[in-house]
Amino acid sequence: MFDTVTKSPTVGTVHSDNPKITARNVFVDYGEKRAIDDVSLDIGVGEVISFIGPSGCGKSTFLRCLNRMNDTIETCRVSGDIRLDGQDIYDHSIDVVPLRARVGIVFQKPNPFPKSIYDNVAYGPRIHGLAQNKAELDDIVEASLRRAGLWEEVHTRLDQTGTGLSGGQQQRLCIARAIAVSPEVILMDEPCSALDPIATARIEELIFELRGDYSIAIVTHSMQQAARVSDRTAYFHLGRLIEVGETSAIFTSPQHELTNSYITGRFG
Amino acid sequence: MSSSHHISSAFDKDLNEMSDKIYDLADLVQHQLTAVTQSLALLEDNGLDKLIKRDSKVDKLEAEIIERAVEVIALRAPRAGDLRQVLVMQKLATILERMGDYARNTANRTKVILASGTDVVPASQLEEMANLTLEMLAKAIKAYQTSDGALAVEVRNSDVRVDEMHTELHKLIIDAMAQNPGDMVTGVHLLFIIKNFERIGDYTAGIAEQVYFLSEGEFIDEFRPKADKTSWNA
Repeated sequence: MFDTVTKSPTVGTVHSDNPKITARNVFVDYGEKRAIDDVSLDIGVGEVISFIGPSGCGKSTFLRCLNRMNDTIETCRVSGDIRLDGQDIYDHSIDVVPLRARVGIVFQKPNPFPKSIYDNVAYGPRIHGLAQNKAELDDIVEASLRRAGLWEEVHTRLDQTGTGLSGGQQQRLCIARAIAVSPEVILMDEPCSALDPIATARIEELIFELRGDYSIAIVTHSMQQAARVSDRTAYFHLGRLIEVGETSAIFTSPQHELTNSYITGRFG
Repeated sequence: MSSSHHISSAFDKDLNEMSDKIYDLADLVQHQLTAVTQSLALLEDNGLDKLIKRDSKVDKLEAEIIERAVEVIALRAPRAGDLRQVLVMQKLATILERMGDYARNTANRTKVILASGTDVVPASQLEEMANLTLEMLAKAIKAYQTSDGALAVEVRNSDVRVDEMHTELHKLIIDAMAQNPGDMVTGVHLLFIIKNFERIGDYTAGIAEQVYFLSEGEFIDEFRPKADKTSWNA
């Protein structure tokens, strides 16, 4: 089965007319195990793209390649070419700290720092020197919390701990924290899987509002979520990018049999 | 690697039951149209009252299919081919129910014509037109059963012949009415009957277009040939 999959090229257009990130012939190995097998894909400026596929298909691994989160895994080897605005992000001269400010990430489980709500958002701008004084930092914190749709709920208790918020609020706080350092790309790794439907709807609404200003790549196990929030959808299977296309086309007329089988619930 | 079956067997069951109901509805509507065509062709009342009464079964089946489609959409969130299948089955149910209405309406009008005792009915031409629409409908259902997009296109384009026959019969009936003003009432009913079959042809072309969408995942975008000139010939 794996051989059959590896031989077939990706169905659909992997190129973007206005790319923010270009990934070409990316391979990822964890020791002897190949997790990503020759994946090429662009992420356009201001677009929302969803990565879907069964567990172990490589969608999260590929997402984490885009801001070098896989660097922290000792056995992980990444090869191929991944560029942000044409610059090779795996070049030896690249400092991953500013890279991860430009390409922020939000994880499955909300992970606010054990600090105040204010300090959670102010942390990034402080270490990146984005504010000259307290007033500027206040402005960044307020703007980021407003952008994340959280300001009205927390502005009277900014000094309280971020971990005391509800799960959905914590996740929006993490998004505010990512936004605070003015990223160009936001990666989201199953950002709603730990949230209830109301909190999920708020995050999805936030993604809708952020589109255009940021390029957003989201890994999700919820096909309805992929259908609701993304402009394009990419289907991964056994480390290969099987098909990518406009979300409406993927969910109404997928071209590859594997994509069709997955989204119609014929295997998982 | 892939399977024709869903992981959820209940989803398969839902779709199969809906599909069975579509076939039941299609069979019933074809039976209704065949029955009224026989009465028209022979100028005999072959159970027209029963036929009229049976239309409530057509309505009931349509309602059951639509109700089931709503449930499947709400509970199963069908996607891709499954979504097209549910949408198409819902559309087919509505189209077939409308055809059933035309069969019932034709039966009512046939009863009036038979009661008048007239002999100016162009029975063989009416039978030919009705049979043509029935053949189209049978092919459209076959295209649905086999998900055959090419056959669907063939059926859709064959409606032009029904239009031509409608135009010919329309002129024939108008001429007959001019020559026999005493049969004016019969003539008016005949005009409605041929219009009913012309519309059944249109609806059958509509079924074919749905089958094409089901099979190919896109709508036919080319212009459908039409040849009904009764609007300006009259």
